[in-house]
Amino acid sequence: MIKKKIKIINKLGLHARASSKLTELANKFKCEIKIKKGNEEADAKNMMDILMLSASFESKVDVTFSGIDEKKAAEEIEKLFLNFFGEGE
Amino acid sequence: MVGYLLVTHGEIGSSLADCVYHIFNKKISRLDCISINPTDDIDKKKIAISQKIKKNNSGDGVIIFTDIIGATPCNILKDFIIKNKVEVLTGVNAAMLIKALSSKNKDLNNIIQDCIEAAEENILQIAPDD
Repeated sequence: MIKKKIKIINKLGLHARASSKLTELANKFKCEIKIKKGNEEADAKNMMDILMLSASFESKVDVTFSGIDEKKAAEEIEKLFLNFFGEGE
Repeated sequence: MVGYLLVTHGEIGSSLADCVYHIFNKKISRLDCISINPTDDIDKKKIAISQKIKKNNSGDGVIIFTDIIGATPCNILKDFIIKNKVEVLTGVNAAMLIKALSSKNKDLNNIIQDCIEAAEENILQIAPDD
């Protein structure tokens, strides 16, 4: 299992469009990917689950990856967060 | 794959469709909208609904979303219900649509249940961030 703590750096946070991109990417991997904010945990492959986290700008989430392709998934998911979900800011 | 149709008062349906196109960053071919307005000829609208159901049914059925139970759009739709093939859901909101359009490899009845759960779970009073 790989665990990463990631700070949300895009201004709009994990909003709908960012969540859609995250779900689309997460669904490309076989491993289980969970995102936790406080006591709330979401399945990264389920967009409505992610939206329910209501994770805004500068909040921190714990992301866990467990499964056969967890290393690659962790790299690419973290990259998506760090690339502002392709939003430029 | 299941097809979708929004039949609503005015532009509620097309606005919701625009919202999900924006979120998914693409137009979704198996989703269509029909607006019902006060001066519309209802018989013509029924023909349009029938045509859209046929267009969007690839064999897995069609879910028709409408805004409010008991109103004209919903009442018109009762004539089109075919159990397990063409079903109608009221109370459409963005969460339901996102859930439906995110569903893969699920049948019509499973998607309906997911939509109802998503709609209910997403009506919440929001607290400020800590």
